[in-house]
Amino acid sequence: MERIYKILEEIIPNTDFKGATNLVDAKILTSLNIVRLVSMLNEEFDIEITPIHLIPENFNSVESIYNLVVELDGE
Amino acid sequence: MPYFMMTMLLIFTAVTIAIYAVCPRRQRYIVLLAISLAFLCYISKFTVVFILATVLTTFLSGIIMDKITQSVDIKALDKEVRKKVKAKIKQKKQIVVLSYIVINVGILLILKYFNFFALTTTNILNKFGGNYEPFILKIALPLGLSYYTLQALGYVIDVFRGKYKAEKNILKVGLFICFLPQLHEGPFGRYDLLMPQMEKGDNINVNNLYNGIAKILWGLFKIFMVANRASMISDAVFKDNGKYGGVTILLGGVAFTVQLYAEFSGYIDIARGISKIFNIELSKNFDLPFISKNVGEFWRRWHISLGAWFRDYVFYPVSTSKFLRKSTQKLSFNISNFVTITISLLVVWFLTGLWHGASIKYVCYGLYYFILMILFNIISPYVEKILAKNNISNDNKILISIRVVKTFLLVLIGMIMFRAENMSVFGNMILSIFKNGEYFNLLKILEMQDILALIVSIGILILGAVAKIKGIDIEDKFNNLSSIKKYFVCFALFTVIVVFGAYGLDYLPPDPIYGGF
Repeated sequence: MERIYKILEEIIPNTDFKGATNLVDAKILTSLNIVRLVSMLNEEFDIEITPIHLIPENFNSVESIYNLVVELDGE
Repeated sequence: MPYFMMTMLLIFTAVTIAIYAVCPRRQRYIVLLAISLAFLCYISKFTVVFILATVLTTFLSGIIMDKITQSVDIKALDKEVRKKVKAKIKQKKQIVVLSYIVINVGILLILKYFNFFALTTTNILNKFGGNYEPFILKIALPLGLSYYTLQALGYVIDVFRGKYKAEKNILKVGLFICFLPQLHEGPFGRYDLLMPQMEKGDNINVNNLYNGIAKILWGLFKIFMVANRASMISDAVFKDNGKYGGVTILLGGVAFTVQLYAEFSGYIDIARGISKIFNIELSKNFDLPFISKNVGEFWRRWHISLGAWFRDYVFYPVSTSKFLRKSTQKLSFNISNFVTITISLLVVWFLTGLWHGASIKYVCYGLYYFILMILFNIISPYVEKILAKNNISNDNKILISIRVVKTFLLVLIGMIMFRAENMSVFGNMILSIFKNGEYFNLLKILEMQDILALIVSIGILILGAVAKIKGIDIEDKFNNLSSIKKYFVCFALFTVIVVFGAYGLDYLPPDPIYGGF
C-alpha cells in the first residue's frame, strides 16, 4: 500500500489520498494521470494492467488500486 | 451511385425480415451471415475474398491464442515460475497477433495506401531528377475495408488481452465481421457486446420493428432533407473556391459541416435502425458533437466508436508501453509525462488522419487535431488558474457559450481542410476568408423552397438536440406511444421525406463520404 501512496504522491503531489473514495469521479485522477499511474504500477509491481481493468471502480481509492495490484500479481 | 448502398441496405432488411421470421431462432445468426455474404458477393465481386481472408485469420488467431493460454495450468504453479511461464505465453501470443497484423493490416495497406505511397515516392524521386512512372494498382476496394479490418483487429487484441475467450464458431466470427448494415460506415462494434445479441435470434416484435423503421426514416430524413441540399451549397463553394472570399467561404464550410454530420449520422441511424429490427443494438456514434466545449470533447461526441477504438487499441498501449516509460525515465516527471502523452497522441492522430484516406491532406487533418489537443493540454491549466483567480466557474453560461463557439470554429477549419481538394486549396481558402470575393448567389444553387426546406429541417435537428440537452428522450417518448400512433409518426416522416426530400433529377447528391473510407 505504501508503494502505491508513493507513486500517487509523485503523480499528484500535495493531495490527501487517505480515505478518498472518489479519485476518478472527482477528477483528482484524470485520464492522463491514470495512464501515468498504470505505467508506473506495471513497472513497480511487474504486472500488466490492460484497458479491461480501466474502470473507475478500480481507481477510485487507494484500496481499490491495491486490490487490483494484488489480483493481477496473484494471477 | 449515391443511393446504391442505401438501396442495398433496404433490400437486405426486407429479405432478412422475410427469412428471419420463418427460420428457427438458433439458426437466425446464420441467416444474417448468409444474406450479408450474398450482398457482399454482389457488391464487392471478387474482392470479397479479402474479407473472407480476414474472417479466417481472425478466427484462427483467436483459437490459436486460446490454445496457447490453455496449454499450461498456470494457477498450479508457484509465483516465480508462474511469472516466467506467463511471460512465455504472452510472447507466443504476441507472435500470433503480430502475424495477424502483418496479414490484415498488410491487406489494408496494399489495397488502400499502396497507390498513395507509390505516387508520393515517385514524385519525390522525380523532384530529384528521376523520371519514373508511378506503379498504380488498379483494384477496387472491398466494401468496408477500413471498418472491418479495425473491428476484427479489436477482437484479436481483446482475446490477446484475455478480455474474453476466442469464438469457436467461425460463422459467428464471420457475422461479427461481415454484418452488412455496419460494414458500410460503421459504427465499430465490440465482439462481447454484439455477439450475445446477434446469436440470440430474438423474434421480430412490433416495438422493435417500429423503433427500427423510425430510426431508418430519421436517417433518411437527415440525408434527403438536410445533407443532399447542404451538399449543393458546399459543392458550389468548394468547386469555385478561388472566386469566393469572406463569409461565402465560411458558408461553404458550415454547409459541408452540416452535410457531413447529417449524412454520416444519417447512415449510422439507418444501420442502427436495421439492426434494431433484429433486436441488435449497434453502438452510438454521435452525441451532440456541436455542443462540445473543446476539441477533445468533440471527438468523444463525433464518430465515437472510432475514437474509442483508437483510445483502447492505440493510445493506451503506446502511452503505457515499457519503451516509452524507459525512454522518458531520465526526464523530470512533468516533462516525461508531457512527452509520453504527446508521442501517444501523435501516433493516434497520425493514424486517425491516415485512416480517413490515403493522402497528405488527411494526414494533415489528423495532425491538425493533434496540435489542437497538445495546445489545449498546455494552455488549459493556465486558463483554469485565471478563471479561479477571477472567480469564474466552469459552469458559467457565457464561458460555456464562448467555448462552444470556439470549438465550432476550430472544427470548421478542420472541415474545410477535410473537404478541400488538397492542402494548397485549403491554405488559399483560409486566406480567402479575410478577403473579398465574388458575390455568391445562393438562389442560383438552390430554389427558394429548397432553402426554406433546408432551414426548417436544420431547425428540426436543432430542436431534437435541445430536447436531448433538456433531458427529453424522444426515442423513449416514441416507444411509449401506441402502435397506431407510432404508425402515424412513421407515415408522417415518410411522407415528409417523399414530398420534400431532395432526390430525383433536379438534385445531384454526392456519394456517401464516410462510405469511401
